[in-house]
Amino acid sequence: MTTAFFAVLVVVLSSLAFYLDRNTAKSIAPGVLWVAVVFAGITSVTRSWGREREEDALRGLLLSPIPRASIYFGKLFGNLVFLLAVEVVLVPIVALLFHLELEPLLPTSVLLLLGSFGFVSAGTLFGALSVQTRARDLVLSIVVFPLVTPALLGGVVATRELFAGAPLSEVLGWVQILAAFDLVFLGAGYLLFDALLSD
Amino acid sequence: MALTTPSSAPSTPAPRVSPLWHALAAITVALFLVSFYLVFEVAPVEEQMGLVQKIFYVHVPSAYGMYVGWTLSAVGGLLFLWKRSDRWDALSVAGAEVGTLFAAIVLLTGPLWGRKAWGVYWAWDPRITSTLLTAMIYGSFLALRSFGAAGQAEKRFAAALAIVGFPLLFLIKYSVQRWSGQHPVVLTGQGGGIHPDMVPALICFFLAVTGLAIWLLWTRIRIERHRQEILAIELEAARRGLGGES
Amino acid sequence: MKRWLLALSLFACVGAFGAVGANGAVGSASAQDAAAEEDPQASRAATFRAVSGPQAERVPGGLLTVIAYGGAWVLVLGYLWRLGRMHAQNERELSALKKSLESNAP
Repeated sequence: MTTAFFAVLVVVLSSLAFYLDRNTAKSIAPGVLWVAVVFAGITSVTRSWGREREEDALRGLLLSPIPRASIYFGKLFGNLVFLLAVEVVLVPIVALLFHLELEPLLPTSVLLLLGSFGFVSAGTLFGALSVQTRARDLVLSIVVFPLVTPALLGGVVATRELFAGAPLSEVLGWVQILAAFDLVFLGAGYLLFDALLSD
Repeated sequence: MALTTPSSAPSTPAPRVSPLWHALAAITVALFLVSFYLVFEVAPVEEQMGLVQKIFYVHVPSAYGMYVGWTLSAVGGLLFLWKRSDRWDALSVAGAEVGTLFAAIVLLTGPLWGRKAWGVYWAWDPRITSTLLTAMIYGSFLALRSFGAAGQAEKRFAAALAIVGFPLLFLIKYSVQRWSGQHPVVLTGQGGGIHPDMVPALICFFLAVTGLAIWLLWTRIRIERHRQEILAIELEAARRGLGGES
Repeated sequence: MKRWLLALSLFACVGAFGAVGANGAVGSASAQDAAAEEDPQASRAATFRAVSGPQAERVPGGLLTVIAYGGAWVLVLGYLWRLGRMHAQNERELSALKKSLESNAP
């Protein structure tokens, strides 16, 4: 709930900062939307790992006979559902503030799904950092933001193209980039999570 | 480690430096001197870019040094997570630092070139932009390591960062290229070309940068290994109650 | 001795790689001259030709070049300085360690 409110605040603030007139609104809105998604994603991941840190819950989780990779996927899934829920609130607000047409929203939601998956898989993998080390939230942002630049770029540009009226086939290249990004982090999470958490 | 018997204090002699290390340093300096001679005396001034074209000789080899450093960093990170030997951690750190150093040179010289070629310093040129984005990843690697003494956990996460950074390098390149494009392609089989008199300067600069990169990596790895040894001795001394902490 | 050879051969290999890469570009230089004529706009930054005669005087000077070379050196020297400091700190800690171990030795 707090995260959703935070994301809405990001949207409102950046609308104030970037909104010019009705003509440019369409090209600014995707950036505002995706930046808010990134912020919401990092907040969600931070909070989900913060809970583990508080009562040393991770140790218990690691001692239990669950495969490590499935701890990763469980967390990943939880964060993804949460982030998608935030986006359900976010998208209508952005559409309202920037007078977006509703038609390209359906393909946009596919982009959002892929992009969110990428953010969350990167964030969940490196979020464990905040449990294992003295590093805190700022460090997590420092590590995760540079990693997600290709997904952010892909998401923003593809969404902008959609709202500029590009046919779906033109956006396909960006969808592939987003999918490749997701695969990189899914693979990295699956292969590295165990090694990262064991001494 | 070196501490076998407490009575004989670790008689670590001044670390012997291989003569090859000195030789490599000398060769590298010589190569740079020759390069500068070739660049400014032998190679002709370019018709349209003027003297600014000479930036090319430092820009392109630096980009190559950057990729060498980052690749080694990823390799070191992978081997560290796999073998858990601090030796590979040293390689990973050295690679990331040297790669980022060369990236800084690329990011400095690129915009200066762009000022002349395109009229603006920062033209959102795809290669320079993707270099910046990748440099941010390896920069966060270095930031992560710099928060106090890097513990084992920091080392592991930094290694993961170096590993993931490598495939992302290609992804970033590809996506930024899709986004915008105007970088000149001089050094490919077919695009562009350079005057024959410019070639020796370029080759010599490539060799000089190679020497510099290897020498820096070597030095950095040695320093990191010494650091690790000192920490290990301190730990061992503290464990034996010898008050080794300084 | 073995490590020497290894390092030396590595140096040679990587150097050769760089040189070959540079050389590969040269072969096509003359072929490209013709192509460059057709589209000067695109080839302006990608094809380098030598300037000769009085034309050379008109070529604008290179403050940018000076900054580029100077800046690159400053970066490299800065890194060398950092390496030196790290090495000095290692030495300091080592001697402190030695001293404290000697004073504690039975």
